[in-house]
Amino acid sequence: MQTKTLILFLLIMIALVPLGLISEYPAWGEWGIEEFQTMIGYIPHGMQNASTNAPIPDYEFHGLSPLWSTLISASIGVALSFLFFTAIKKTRNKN
Amino acid sequence: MHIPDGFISPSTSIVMLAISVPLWWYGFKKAKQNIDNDDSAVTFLSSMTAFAFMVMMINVPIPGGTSGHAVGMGALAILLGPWVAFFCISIALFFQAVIFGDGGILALGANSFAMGFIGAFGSYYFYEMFKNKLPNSINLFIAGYAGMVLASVVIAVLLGIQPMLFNEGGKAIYFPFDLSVTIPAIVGSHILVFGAIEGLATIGVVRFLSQIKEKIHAN
Repeated sequence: MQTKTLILFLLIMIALVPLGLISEYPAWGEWGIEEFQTMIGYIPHGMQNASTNAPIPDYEFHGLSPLWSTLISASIGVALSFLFFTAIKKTRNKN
Repeated sequence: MHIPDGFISPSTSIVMLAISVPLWWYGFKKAKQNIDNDDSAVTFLSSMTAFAFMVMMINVPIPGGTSGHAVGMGALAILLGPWVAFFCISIALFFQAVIFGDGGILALGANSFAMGFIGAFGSYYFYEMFKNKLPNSINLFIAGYAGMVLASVVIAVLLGIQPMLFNEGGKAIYFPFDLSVTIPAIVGSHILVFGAIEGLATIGVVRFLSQIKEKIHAN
């Protein structure tokens, strides 16, 4: 009963995540650094070397459609959450 | 609402990490207590972390060329208690930063403190304040709304103090807009729109899951 409700809950959430694709704009302030050049005429130098080397930047897989990228990214988030807390539970069993 | 690395100074990030590390440790202990005392807690905590992860991906556009999203702090705080909610949101933010480049890694302390700690405790205390005094749905809405607006204040302050603290020759070194811009833009949009989205998400999720939450909210 509890597990079924949670599985349904997570499936609904995965199905809702692509709604986020409707928005073309980033959150206020979270612009790419080039946009600061346009806005204020320079790129603050502390921002320049702050590039991120994430394995899956912006939840986008190269060569996959935005819809699939988003669905797979959401699923990865679910999987990592379960792996993490399962690992915490395992640490108890060793003690 | 996810501050990227380079938008706040390394010193700001380190101060926020120093604040967050002991809070993470206490949140972790609370989460582990839940897991040790109840075999179903792993599934529930994992699901709520996954929910926070996903709801933060749902960007909602607003007029003016920007967007925002719910965080899940209201639902997590009410269903898990504020400490465990803070810990779960921090874990979701950690995955987003490290795997997907959403929010900085050095800035994880700042983002966790704002969206996780202030957000969850704000939601929790507003919920407790009006418990049994207002219809439950209204109370749930207020809880989510308040947590979200409080979190946005922290983000706006952290970004807005940057040009005041760190500049050379009149040029900002990090985020260039000061409090007079960040407060209306970030807090304003959360008061008008995103707080309400968090409030509605809180109602929906708590109602949907309230049938199974009973024992888990132990601490």
